[in-house]
Amino acid sequence: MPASVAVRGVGLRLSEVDDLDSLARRLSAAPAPAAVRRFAAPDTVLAPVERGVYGPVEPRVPARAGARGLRGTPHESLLALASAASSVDGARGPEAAHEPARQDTRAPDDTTAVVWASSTAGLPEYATACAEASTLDPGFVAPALGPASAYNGPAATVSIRLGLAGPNLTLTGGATAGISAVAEAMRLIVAGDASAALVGASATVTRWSLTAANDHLTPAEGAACLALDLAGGPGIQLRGCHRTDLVQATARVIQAAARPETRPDGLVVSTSDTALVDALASSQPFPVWHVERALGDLGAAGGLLAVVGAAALCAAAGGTFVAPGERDPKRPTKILALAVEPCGSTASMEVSSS
Amino acid sequence: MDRDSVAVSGVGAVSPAGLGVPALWRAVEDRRVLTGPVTRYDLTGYPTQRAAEVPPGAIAALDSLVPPHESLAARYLAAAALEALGDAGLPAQRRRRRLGLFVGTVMGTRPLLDRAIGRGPLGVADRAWARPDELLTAVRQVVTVDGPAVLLAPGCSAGNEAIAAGAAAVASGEVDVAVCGGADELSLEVFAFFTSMRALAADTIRPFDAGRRGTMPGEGAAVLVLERAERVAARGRAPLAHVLASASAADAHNLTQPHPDGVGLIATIQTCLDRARVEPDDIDWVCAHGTGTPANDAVEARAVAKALGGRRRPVLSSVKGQLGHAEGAAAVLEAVVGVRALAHGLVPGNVTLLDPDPECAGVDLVEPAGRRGPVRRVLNQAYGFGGAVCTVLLGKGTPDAR
Repeated sequence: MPASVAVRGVGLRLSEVDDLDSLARRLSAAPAPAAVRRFAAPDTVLAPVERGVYGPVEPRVPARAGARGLRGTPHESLLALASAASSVDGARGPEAAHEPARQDTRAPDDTTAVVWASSTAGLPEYATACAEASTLDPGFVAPALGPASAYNGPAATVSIRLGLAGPNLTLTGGATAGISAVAEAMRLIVAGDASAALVGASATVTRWSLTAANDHLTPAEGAACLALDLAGGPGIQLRGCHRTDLVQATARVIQAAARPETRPDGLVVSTSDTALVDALASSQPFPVWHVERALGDLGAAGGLLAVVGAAALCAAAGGTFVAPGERDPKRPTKILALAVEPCGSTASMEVSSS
Repeated sequence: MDRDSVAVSGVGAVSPAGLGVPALWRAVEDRRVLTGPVTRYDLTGYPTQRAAEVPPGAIAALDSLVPPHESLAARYLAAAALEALGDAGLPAQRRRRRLGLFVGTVMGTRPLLDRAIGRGPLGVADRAWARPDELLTAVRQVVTVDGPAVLLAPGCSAGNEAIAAGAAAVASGEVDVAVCGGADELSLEVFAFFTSMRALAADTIRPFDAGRRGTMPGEGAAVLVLERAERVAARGRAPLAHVLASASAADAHNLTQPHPDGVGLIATIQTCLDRARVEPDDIDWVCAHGTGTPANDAVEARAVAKALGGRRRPVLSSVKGQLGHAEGAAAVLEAVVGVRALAHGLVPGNVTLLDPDPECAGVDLVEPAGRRGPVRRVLNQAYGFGGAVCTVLLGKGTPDAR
């Protein structure tokens, strides 16, 4: 794994969050009120429910990804594509937004990797295919539903629409998947499989996802994507990924906090365990932010949002990430992103501005 | 061989041949075709009704091996992991070593929802089908995981991606032991949409045959335990095989169709050769993705012929004619077969091949009987819907390995 990678661009599609500044503010503010929406699953025994959620989020797909041929693309894949295309535009500067969409069918030569994390991608398509299989004659399930009913729709859509022929990975599971996605992207870059990486995560809220939603958290939908390449020059850097169990991770945080030279300036935690966050916040000499409290429950995407949130807080503290060298950093800032799953699996990553 | 190379120290499998790697390898050697009428679901009215199921007796036998869980895939995975760790001589439950779990799947626990498919509105039983992390619950109960627990779902390249991620974690020192697996269970949802896509064969899967009509779903789980070779040697054991290289890429072309030139596959094969510093003629067996669909096999054969153009045509066969397409488990099941092929000096044949497709003339399709002889390197390739491709190159273990 390389020592570090640099954040070259960020694409965000989150409820009430437009950019890193508003993400940093949202993390520190009191939880926003959630809009109550009604969710139904036709042709099933599931009764409609009303629930407060963060969303809906409009994809607003940038021109780079092309507008044609997107009808029928699942909502979560559109959110992913929009955030990924925005992160590329952020990495290449404002004029890149006007570059033409990919039209040709030749073999793409861009070996940027796409690494995505999601717990919900394909879920409504899977469930709808099951409902159709239950109510229609054999052979009449809509053929487009099937390939979209696995987890890899977002990563595949980003790769195909943006012409990215590097490795195409999807991680699923709980919150650690979002941080592991960054770790796997770093591995692929250093191994030479990828020249750079778009690392993203997404979530959608449907009647189906609500069957497994945490009662004490606000379900949320949205997507975020980081454009990463090998570190060089000033900017936001990601390094030091550790994937272990809760005991070792907690020990690591306590040890790091004990010495000024290793102490982070803050901790952004993604977990469904609010008591754990309270315990960390009460015992550490630095601020602790909770992704799920501020942004809602985004499943596997929570881990990546801990990283993006840490980047936002670093940027707000004076770092620079869009155009390295354009603005002098006021001071180096180091924030730890941590994801903890109920089973005790944890992943952490150091986010710093230099 | 570099003593620090990544070694395969144990293997485990649950497959349509039953529980265990010996059952799987015996079925391959005996050329048994394990596809047959589906018993788990009522397929009345479906134009094709065949798949490759883990036999009911094997499923019943899981009760004495692994904890209960609604998801069969979760239990297959736990059983394969226990077998593989036992094969490696490693206790399943011990702290103070760094053990990571790298698992590939396509549908994970979602097939739990399939059980509600009947006539009329869809019933919905439990909720584990909406929780992907549930796939790892059973294996976590029987194996102490204190390193990464990574669940990869990139489409049907999943199994190889799990091996690649685990091998990298071993090579970098992030873990001492990588449990690399793949798991999927038979899904009626997959069966239903494959039916809609007219991708299913009615009688037999015939990879690379001119008369191939389609594939069939399979199921199961398989695990490779990876460690540094020196760590295996320190326990007084010999590696079963080595992971010589892996490479990942994407077609970036179409959600359901492979790139007509197989660009992603060619790129990963060439990268594997470069990384392992071997020539095309050094590959003794290409364990093909070989799904038996008209769309896949000709593209794959042409791509392999192009990427492995040497003095002789690349030797290629697919075991999916016997095992069906086990989706996320497929590539690891095939890697386990590859490990056995290296040890036993047998290249498995295209068991169901009757009439080789002229479009596949660029490769040397192995006759159904298979071929005996030295097998030193096996190239295992996997890709699927979405365009992700991952190829793994396995090399022979030391001569005294089982």
